[in-house]
Amino acid sequence: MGQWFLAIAAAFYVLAAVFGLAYLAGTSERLPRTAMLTLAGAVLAHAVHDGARWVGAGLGPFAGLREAISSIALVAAVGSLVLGWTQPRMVTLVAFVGPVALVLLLASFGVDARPASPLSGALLGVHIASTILATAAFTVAFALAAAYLVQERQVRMKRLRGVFQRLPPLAVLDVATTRSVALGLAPLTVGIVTGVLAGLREALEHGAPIVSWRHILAVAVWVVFAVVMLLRVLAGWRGRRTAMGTLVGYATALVVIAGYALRGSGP
Amino acid sequence: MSNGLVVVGLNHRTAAVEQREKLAVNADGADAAVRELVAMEGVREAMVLATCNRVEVYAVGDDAAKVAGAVRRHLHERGGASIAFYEHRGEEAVRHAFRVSSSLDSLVVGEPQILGQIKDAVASARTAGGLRVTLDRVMSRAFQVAKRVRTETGIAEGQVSVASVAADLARGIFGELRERKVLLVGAGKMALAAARTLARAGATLLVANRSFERAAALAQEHGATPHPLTDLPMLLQHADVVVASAAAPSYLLTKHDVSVAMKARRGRGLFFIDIAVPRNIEPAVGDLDSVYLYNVDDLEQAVAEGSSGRAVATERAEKLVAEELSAFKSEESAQKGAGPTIVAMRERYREVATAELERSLGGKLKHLGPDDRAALEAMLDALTNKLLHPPTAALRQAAAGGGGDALLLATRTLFALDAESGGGRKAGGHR
Repeated sequence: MGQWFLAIAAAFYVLAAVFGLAYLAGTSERLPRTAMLTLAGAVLAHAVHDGARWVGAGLGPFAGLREAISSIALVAAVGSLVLGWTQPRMVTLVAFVGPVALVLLLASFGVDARPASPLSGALLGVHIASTILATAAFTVAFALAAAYLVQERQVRMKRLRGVFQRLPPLAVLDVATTRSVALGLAPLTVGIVTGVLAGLREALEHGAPIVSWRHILAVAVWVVFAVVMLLRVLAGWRGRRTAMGTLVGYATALVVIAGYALRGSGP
Repeated sequence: MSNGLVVVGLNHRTAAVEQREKLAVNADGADAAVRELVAMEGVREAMVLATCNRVEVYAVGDDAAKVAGAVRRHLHERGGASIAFYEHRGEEAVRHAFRVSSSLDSLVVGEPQILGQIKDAVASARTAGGLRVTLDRVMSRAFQVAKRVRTETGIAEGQVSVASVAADLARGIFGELRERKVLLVGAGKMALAAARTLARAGATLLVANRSFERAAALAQEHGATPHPLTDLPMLLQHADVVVASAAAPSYLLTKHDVSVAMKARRGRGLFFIDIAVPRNIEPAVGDLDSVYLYNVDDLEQAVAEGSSGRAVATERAEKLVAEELSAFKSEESAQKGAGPTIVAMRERYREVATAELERSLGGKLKHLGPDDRAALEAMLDALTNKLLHPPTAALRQAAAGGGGDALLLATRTLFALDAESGGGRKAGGHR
């Protein structure tokens, strides 16, 4: 039964992305509503699937890497759904978030399902929840940054119809990207601190190395996003530079996730 | 009559702004150009129409090929030998004049500014002594055609203007314009239209102009803040949109100026719309981060796409122009009979005016300098044209109606056109 909902969610993510892209290409003016409803359908099926695993097998969002990645996709999709519903032209985010959510959802089933985290109790909950929230926020920031670069290209190429008219204004995308990055940085900080604490405990209790390459990469993600924010404040980095920095930060985050996925979910 | 009419020029479709700006002239320049043209061998009449989208010379002479050659030489001397021009003669030149005045040849089909610009060009040519029988007739008719096209085809309805495209672009970059500042550099008509549109969207206006008085007047009209042009570097730090339309021979804003301003702006986006020809802003400004530069040509695609919905109105307008052209040709053939009488009447007036002018300039007014003398000549020319316009129109109308013989005879008698003139010439006879 759960696999059916997974298939439905995947199909709806694909359809939402197709509708979003078709709207961007100017196929029909009725597509935004269809794209949003399809994304809502994908979110619903995805939530039912994850909920069924939680209730049926006790595999909640904190159970392991598989569940965490799936939750990131779900939270990011919900985030873009809220943005699209509250700000009219943000509906085009579906075209960017849909494929990422699909890839994350499918990738979650390619990873080791073992709940191998050394963390436990409240620390585990805080660590995973904050990491999920941070990565979901960065996923939305990635979509906004990609939309910014597409929109900026339209303006530079003097293409003032079609995509230009459908994507949000550059300034709106720039501000939204920055806010999403800021929204992700706070929980990521909490996630890294809890991760370091867990590492220390592990080192003290089992003699494991305090710092692993995955810790370093996680800090690298934080550093990239923090630098993007810092340069915005101190050196006036905006627009294209913020968008490019966000893409680099998100790519680093994906490398961290891939690293965990390929090498097991331990610290 | 219009067989000797020639149009030579370039527009937004045939030449990029880089070429058009080489030939751009202001009102004084247009007057001087008309004087130069009518002083050329074979050119009897001339008019210069210079807008941001076109530079055209309308000229009349007995030998169209000779006139076209003279006009081309004049334009090449000013703009360089490499520039290519289009050329229309006779009936095609009249059709072109009708299409231009009806805004069918404009960047924004249906835009209203072109008619005012042609009226200015006609007034300028009249002052400079370039407008006589043929051009006067063609342009007067062109105004009538334009009026018909606007009222009968709905071509101006729901039109996309450069101003509205500029506002849409600004919204595409900044979103809501309520808290944005729009800086007007210069006070051209198009910039004003853009300013009005942006002000309606809630933007705050700043005006910088070479003449501070003009900036102040404009600012008062639109609730803006006036500034002298020297404030530009400071203003760039605060504005979000810059609409430049100043008449200036060189760039008012260079890449260096904008680069310095962007540092002070801490990277905040800046959108330039340069609708001046010659351009006010160095093109390399568009290479800077978070800076977007559009010139008149860049707006063409958006405007053309926005105009595509009025294809039916455009088709109707083209048919109306063809209809008017045909009527004009018929009238012209019918009026050929009245032509010699009109020419004789005008020559008689001109001879009298010239003789009186020479007498005065040799007597009480001999202290006048060359400029004052030229102004006096132009005034007399204009006076002659205005005085003769009603009888000329009446003669043409009567001839076109096929019953003008009695009026022609009366005119020749009243003005003694068959008698020896003061200059010893005998006016062309016609019965």
